[in-house]
Amino acid sequence: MTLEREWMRGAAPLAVLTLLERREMYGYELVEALERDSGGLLAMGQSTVYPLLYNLEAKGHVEAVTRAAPSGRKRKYYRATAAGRKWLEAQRSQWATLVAAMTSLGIAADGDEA
Amino acid sequence: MTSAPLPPEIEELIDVVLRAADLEFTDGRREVEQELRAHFEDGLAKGVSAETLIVRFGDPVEAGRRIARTRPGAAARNRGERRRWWMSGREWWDEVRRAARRLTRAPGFAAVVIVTLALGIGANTAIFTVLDAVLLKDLPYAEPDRLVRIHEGNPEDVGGEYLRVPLIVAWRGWDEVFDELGALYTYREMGADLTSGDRPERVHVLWVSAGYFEALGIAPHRGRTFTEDESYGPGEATGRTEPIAHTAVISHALWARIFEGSDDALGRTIELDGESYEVVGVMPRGFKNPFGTDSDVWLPYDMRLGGSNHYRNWFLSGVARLRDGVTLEQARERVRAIAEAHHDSEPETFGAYPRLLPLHQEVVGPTRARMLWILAGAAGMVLLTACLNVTNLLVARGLSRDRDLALRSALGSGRARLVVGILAENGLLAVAGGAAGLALGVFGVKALVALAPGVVPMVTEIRMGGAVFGFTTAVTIGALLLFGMTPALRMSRTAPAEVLRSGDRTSTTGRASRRVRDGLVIAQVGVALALVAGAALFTRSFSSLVNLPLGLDPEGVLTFEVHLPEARYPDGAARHAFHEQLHDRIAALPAVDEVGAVSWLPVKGRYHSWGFYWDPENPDGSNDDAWYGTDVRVVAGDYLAAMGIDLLSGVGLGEVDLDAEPMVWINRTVVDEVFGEDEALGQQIVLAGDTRRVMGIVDDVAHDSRGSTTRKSYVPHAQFAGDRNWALTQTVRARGDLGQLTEQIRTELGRIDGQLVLFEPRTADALLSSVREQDRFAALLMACFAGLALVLSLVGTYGVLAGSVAARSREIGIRMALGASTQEIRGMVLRYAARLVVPGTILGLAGAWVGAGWIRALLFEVDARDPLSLSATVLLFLVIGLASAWLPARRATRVDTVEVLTAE
Repeated sequence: MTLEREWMRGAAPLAVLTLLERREMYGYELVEALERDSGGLLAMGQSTVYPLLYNLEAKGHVEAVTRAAPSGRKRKYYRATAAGRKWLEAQRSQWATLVAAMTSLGIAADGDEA
Repeated sequence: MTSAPLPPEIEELIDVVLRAADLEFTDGRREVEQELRAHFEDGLAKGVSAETLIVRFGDPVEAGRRIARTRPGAAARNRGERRRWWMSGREWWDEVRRAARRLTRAPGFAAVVIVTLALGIGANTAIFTVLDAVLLKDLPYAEPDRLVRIHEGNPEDVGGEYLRVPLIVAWRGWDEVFDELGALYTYREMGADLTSGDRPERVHVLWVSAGYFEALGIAPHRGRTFTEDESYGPGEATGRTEPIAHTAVISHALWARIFEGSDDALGRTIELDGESYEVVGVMPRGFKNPFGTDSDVWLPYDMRLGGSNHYRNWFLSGVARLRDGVTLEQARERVRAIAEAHHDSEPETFGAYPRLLPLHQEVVGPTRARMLWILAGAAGMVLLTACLNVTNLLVARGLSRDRDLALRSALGSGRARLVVGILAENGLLAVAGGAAGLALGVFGVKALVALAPGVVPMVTEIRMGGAVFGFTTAVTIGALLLFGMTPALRMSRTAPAEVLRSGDRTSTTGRASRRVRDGLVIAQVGVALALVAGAALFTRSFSSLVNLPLGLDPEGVLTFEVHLPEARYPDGAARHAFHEQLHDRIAALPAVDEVGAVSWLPVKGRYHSWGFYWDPENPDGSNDDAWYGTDVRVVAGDYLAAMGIDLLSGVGLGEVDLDAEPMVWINRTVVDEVFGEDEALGQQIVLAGDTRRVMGIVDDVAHDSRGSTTRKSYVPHAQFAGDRNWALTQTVRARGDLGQLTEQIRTELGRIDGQLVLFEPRTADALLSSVREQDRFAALLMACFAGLALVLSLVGTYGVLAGSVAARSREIGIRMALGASTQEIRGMVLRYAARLVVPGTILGLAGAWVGAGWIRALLFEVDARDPLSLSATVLLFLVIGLASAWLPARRATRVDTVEVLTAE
């Protein structure tokens, strides 16, 4: 199953920021984590990951630092900023509200999604 | 900042992203590029294939646009962005850089294309530059189109190259035809010992009439040329050795050498052979005579009637400037009309008229012109094979790039973009090939001139023909672009996905390309074969020339000249005494076997054609039919032995008592043509005013490089030294180092007379090779061109066969899996080779057959359709065709069936 573009647009920044809130990651790591942790649902075209990261960076939600990865190569590591966490918090409550509303409308079932 | 190179399709993708992101000239570009590179490196490091990574990445153009929107500086610029249909300079530069990168990834391909182009362009630039300088460029005189050389024509056809003084005197008055008419004494090369300087030096002298420089339209650099009186009158001629006026015009080089370019050279005197001449003029730098050798000094020739200037003495050459507005055709008509009237008043003219020949044509000569055109044609054929080869390589590369192009097309590069990419690639190849070709051409011109200075007359300096280089380069680049474009254009007709999916190169377009490649190779083989056949003919012709018996033995023979100034050697006795003394001293040198001297060396052309009289019944010379033409040679010492000319019967020159009676030696041709069955030895003939006894019969000696012989008579110098101051060429047969010998002889000469010059020492071998120069030049150049074409066609054939085997490895694998033997597989490849080489050979043979008419005139003792040369060439090509198929055939039989069949 794939998500429609509009859903994706809303969900992707949240997913990325959530992953970066847990630990800092560089581009390819993040791509892999997205695919793995979302059960493939958020394996978005990788081409969109980088613009997304740049966008979050421009808004001040993530920050980047370049240093050597365990492989020895230089990588740009991204992590969530304080502002980012705050924004993520606000988004989470909005999502919760939305999901509750959807559930009561019968669009989303409670807890037994296949 | 640069990291390890990524696969080209990924590099391409990153480029597309960056271009769409519009991050030029910002730090962001490098940052983004590094991150994207890191992304793919990580992916590849995890074992994901490049193709998977590309597919997962998604649309690079979209990614780039999104990145553009997120970057602060770029965003504003980007908002108003619209798609442009043109490319900025920066984008072009990017394309060139990318093309260079692609080429460095295919160094073999690039090198072969560049070398091929360089050879084709270089060979053509060199030969056409020479051709341009020799055949196409105007002579270095004023309005050269109006210049003609004059030969003597007459109804009895007895005239020729040389003119008679009374006729010249008459002709120069024909104002309705000629503006100026000048005569020059080219009957033999003239030199004089210049003794004005510190040490005597030998200089080239040319006698010319007043009007000579004016006819050529070249004014002196300083002073004046010769006046009317200094040449034509008044009074009567006194004799050939007596100058009419002691004035001289000197060359710019001599002026610089002995007067250091000073203005007060005018009016000063120079000493030539002990006589003083006043310098009245200096010619401009680089002035050359239109024919004959270059001169250091010009002296006025006595053109007054009387003495030897009469109607029965042919010895001058003429050049004239046609009257302004008179065409060559009109001039030819007019002189015939005037000559008829002239004959009526002067029967001794024998109806002679001035036969007018364009000077340019005279200078170059028809054989040389033909040879140069043929060589130019050959060079053009080399260029053709080079173009065919490059085209072939490009088509082959186009095939292997189908996937690459499909990928780029899938990545969003438009058709125009693909074309631009290939354009950039081919452009780079063309520029590199052109530059290398130019360098090769410059070197080639120098080599050609060094190889055969005599083939390139009238050229003070050969400059690289800009037009020639431009033309050659344009042809090549044109071919490159035309054929290089086909892959890109084909791509636009093919769905990229189809090519990507198919995985192998078995599409219909591939088959069509292969047919094109086959055709190219066939053409290439054809052209190369025709060239090789030509080269074989020229080589055979040259080797028959070299092996031609000329009637002499040049091995170990040194020749040089010594000129005796009239002032100190006034009569025959003095000159004869000098030669005897010189020969005695030389003969005493330990390395010397024989020594002699002659008035004109063999193979240097005909000279001194006189007549002799023989009629035992009427010895008084009354029988007009008993006069026979013969070339006369004045000889001293034992010339025949020194030159290795066989004495067939009678006694040798060195064994007779020269005081006994006037003597003559004749050659075999005289015996055959004049005496026939009669015994020639002991007969008496009248030659040069004396009745002479035939003392010996001598073998024929060639007077040119092609072995032509004519009647020849040898007269001893001892009995003929008084006739004139003979400029004898010394001939010394010796063992060991001839250079060392030259120095020893120079010392001996100094002991006899310290003022004399040992002039132009050279070996008889060098003389022979100089007269064979043109033939050697043609043979060598043809061989070079043919070799080039051969190598190119070999590369082409091999390339196609190898490519075909690689492309059909799957098919070969299947065949072998189905039980085909290695022999059958090898046979398959060889049959393919035959399909290329056999039609090519037939094509080439047809070309050689047609071209035979052209080169026939240049060949010596070889038929232009010589079966031996042609069949050897065909055999060579069949062998080479097989050889070029050998490696691919072997590779075919080693195809790993399992690997091939499980590959996809």
